[in-house]
Amino acid sequence: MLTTKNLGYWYDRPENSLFTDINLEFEQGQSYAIVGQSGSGKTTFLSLIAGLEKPRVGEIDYNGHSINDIGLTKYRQQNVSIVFQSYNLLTYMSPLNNLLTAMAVTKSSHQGNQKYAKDMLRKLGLTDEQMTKNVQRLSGGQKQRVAIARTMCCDAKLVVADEPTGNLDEENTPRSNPTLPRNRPRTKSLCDHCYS
Amino acid sequence: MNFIKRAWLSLIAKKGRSFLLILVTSAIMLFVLAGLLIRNAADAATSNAKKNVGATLTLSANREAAFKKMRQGATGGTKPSLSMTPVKLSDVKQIANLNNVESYNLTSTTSVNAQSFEAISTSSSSGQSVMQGGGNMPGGDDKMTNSQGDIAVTGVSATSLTSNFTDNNYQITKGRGIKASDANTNNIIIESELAKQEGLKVGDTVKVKATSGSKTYQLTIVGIYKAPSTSTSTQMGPGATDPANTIYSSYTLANTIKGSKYANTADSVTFTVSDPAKVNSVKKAGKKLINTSKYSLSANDASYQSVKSSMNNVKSFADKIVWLVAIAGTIILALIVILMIRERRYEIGVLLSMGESRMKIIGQFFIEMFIVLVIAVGVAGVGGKFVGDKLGEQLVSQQASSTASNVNSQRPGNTDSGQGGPGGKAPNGQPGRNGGASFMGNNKADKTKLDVQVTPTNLAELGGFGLAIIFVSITLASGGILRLSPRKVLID
Repeated sequence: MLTTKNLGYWYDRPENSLFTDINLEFEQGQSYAIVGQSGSGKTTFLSLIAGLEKPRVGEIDYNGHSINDIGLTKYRQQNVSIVFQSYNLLTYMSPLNNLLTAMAVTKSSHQGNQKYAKDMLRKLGLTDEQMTKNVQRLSGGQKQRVAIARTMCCDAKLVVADEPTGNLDEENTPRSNPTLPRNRPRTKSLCDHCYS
Repeated sequence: MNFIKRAWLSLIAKKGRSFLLILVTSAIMLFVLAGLLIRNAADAATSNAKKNVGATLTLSANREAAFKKMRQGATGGTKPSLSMTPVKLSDVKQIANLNNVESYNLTSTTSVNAQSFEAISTSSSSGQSVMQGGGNMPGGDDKMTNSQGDIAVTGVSATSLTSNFTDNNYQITKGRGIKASDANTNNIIIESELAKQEGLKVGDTVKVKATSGSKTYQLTIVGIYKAPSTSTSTQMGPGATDPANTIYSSYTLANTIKGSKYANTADSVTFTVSDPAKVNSVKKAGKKLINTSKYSLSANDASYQSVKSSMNNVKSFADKIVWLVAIAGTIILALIVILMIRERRYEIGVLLSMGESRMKIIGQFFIEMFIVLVIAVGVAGVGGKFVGDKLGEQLVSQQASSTASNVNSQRPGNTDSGQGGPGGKAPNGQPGRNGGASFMGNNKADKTKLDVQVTPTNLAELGGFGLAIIFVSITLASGGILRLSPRKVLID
């Protein structure tokens, strides 16, 4: 489904490459974890496969087509969903509106379906009151759950999660994890500092 | 949730920012609208000036040619005499038939001596008596003073066509003015000071005596007019030159007093041209109809030109305001929008990471600013008339004072009083030719007001202007950020 060919990236100079010659293949319906030390390039690698940035060298193919040829915007919109470590929610909206926005932007099959979005938020432990107030009034863990719910509302085949449960307590972590696989054959690429 | 709803949510969620944006945009729109209103009002005032101020042509004896003839006729010891040919009514009618000639006013002036009443005595500040009814002029030559009466008779077609009355310098206070129907009658109007001194009222009759010969005329007062209480130095001249000693009659009466050879003539005729822009073409056509060695036909569109120039200055200033405010407004708004968008880099990054198109992100900002603009245009529409009125008043009063000083500096001594000085040997004791309507309407030029009105067209124009400003601002502001990759936007 997703293949990286000789992928390499550096920030300032090629001799200071963050990584080089990464050749990986991700299959549909499988979960993958990318583990490494802090600063090893895990988030950068996820950004590349999520189409947030172009690699310095190498190529990423999605279903046999270069994501550059598909167009990064279209690729992100139709195929990828990202859970960021820092939530990346729209701060002037409620959790519900965040979900509805993501569903509209990605043209989800549930686009405009408030009930679906609310069910998803409820499933992740948010009350009806919490889902309609501004996201900035939520705790870090609650924001993280909204970010996860947003990902799950979209129809993306590829879910990229960068430390998705980093801000969740022990009680809520398992609640999120079963949500991520759901019933659909998605490919999940997770990235974390530890193996837990 | 589409980008339009996102825009609305953003505006509602950040009320303080939205309020400030509305405030700044309203201020910019207010000044742009004021500029637009003044410019449009100046345009309207210029075209109104065309109708109201008008332009005139004056047909009179060719003084230059008459003087030339006088000098040529001078021999040895004999004193040359100036002979001015009065304008024939047949010539007047031909010119009156030309296109764009709206109306004409015949003027025929002479002087008489008061018989059944006494003229107003005028004294200089040194106490020297300058004129006592019918007496000789001090220091003048006998021939001249004998032909100069103490009452000036200004014969006109109608006082309503005479500059002093059209300009409201003189006002009918009782009775009525001289009308075309007063032709061949002895009806007159007299000045209120003279009426007060002599206890005369409308309906009374007075007797005057011709300056040469012993013929007397019984005149009927049909109206009383008020001359301005302030007079120029030349108006305060001796006897007949005092405005209070001027009586208005039909031109036929003035001609009768002057003598039978003046029947069907006039000293000068003022033609009102309907379209000031056509004054020169009418003049050209008119010259073909008259004997230019005897008569001169001079154009006077000074009032129109004065108003036009004044309004053009106002318009040019308004244009500068519009451009200045638009440029300053664009810069200020662009800076505010740049700051606003920079502050929203994170939001842009989030939307980009979800796969939102750049056009829709720009569209969201555009919608937000459009909502702000609609409110700002509404605010400007309410306040624009007030600001435009105040600014317009200031501009026009400045222009009027500068125009007045220019006009005054260009015409020293011109009194526009309808009467000349006593000098010269005017035929049959005429008190000299006046400036007639030469500066008719200058008061109108000075009094031109801007009618500042906010119309839907103005608001649409303003809205268009505002849209252009926000389009430029948003394009400038978002261009830099939207070029970056989503990750860079989110990291930075």
